[in-house]
Amino acid sequence: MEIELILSIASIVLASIALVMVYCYYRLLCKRMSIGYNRLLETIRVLHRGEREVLEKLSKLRRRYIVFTIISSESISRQEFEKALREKLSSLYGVIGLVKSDPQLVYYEPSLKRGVIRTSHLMKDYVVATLSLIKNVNGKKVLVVPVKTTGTIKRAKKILYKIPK
Amino acid sequence: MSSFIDFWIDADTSVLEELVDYARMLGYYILCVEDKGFEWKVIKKKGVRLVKRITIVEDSEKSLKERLRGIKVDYPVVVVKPTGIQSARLAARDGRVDAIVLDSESIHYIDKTQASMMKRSGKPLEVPINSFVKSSRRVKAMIYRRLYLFYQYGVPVIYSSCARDWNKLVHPKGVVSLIKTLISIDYRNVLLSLSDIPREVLVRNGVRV
Repeated sequence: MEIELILSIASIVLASIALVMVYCYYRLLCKRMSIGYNRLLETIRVLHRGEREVLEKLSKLRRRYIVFTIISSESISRQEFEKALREKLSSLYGVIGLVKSDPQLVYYEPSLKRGVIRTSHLMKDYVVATLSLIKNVNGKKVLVVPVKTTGTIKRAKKILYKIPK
Repeated sequence: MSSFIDFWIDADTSVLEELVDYARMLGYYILCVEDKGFEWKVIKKKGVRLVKRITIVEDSEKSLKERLRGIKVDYPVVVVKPTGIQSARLAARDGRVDAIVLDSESIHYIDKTQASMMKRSGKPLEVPINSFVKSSRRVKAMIYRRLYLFYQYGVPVIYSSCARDWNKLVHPKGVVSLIKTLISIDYRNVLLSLSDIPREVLVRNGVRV
């Protein structure tokens, strides 16, 4: 009788110990999982923030206006010059360079052989380098001088008419 | 404001007058002109100082030594375009040589050893812009790698146009922009290559600037 009682008490004790152990393990597991989950959430947040920053940087493309003058004894038309510029830019910096800079001849005065090119602030140097390396336009000898780079077309036009002949 | 030096003009006498006009317009006040039988060493024309220079193309050490003998009497500026490894090494060591040309012909002989030798003797490397633009894509890539190496070593670099006609002149702004886009270096370094470094060479050779 006594032995049965002792055995039953021992089994109850063992069972309770096992229950406590299972509970502790369960708590530990939950804690670890929650930490992992939080970390995951944080990583996603950081990544998302980074992406947003990149998007903000990309959106800030500012325009630049390059005033130039052509030295040549022959007359140069707008189309001829635009074609020569795009060809030279493409041969120097490739198609990607051409697409990124996208030089647009916004203003051209054929009588004075002067003009204004619009591009982005990031690709300004590419266009200036290309301008000074144009040596022929449709078989005519030319020398292009990049005079000044400005941020507004108003100022660019002012500079354009200020240059002495 | 004129403050730039074009270190290499390869024009004939017939186009030189016209070229000087345009060079002054672009802001150059000293032009080093390749010798075409001129009687002067240094001359001033239309406000631009013209300095006679010679470019020696040699492949062997012996022939280069012979060409260099007494050359400083006639030419204030002596530049070597090496077409052999021996002549390249001699040009880097010799005090009579003012600069070494880097173009499609000499590219194979200008390497790390050459860079360290030129750094030791403080000899500048000359890069003709028109020759760089004209060359093939492969040569352009090779020139780019050499230029990068020479900037890493701290060797002085001079940019010249090697213009044969007035329309082959390159505006200093264009040179700065081109080098800035090619190698991401500060524009002040490129400006030094167009003004201070060639001026030092000329002063060393007794040319009044």
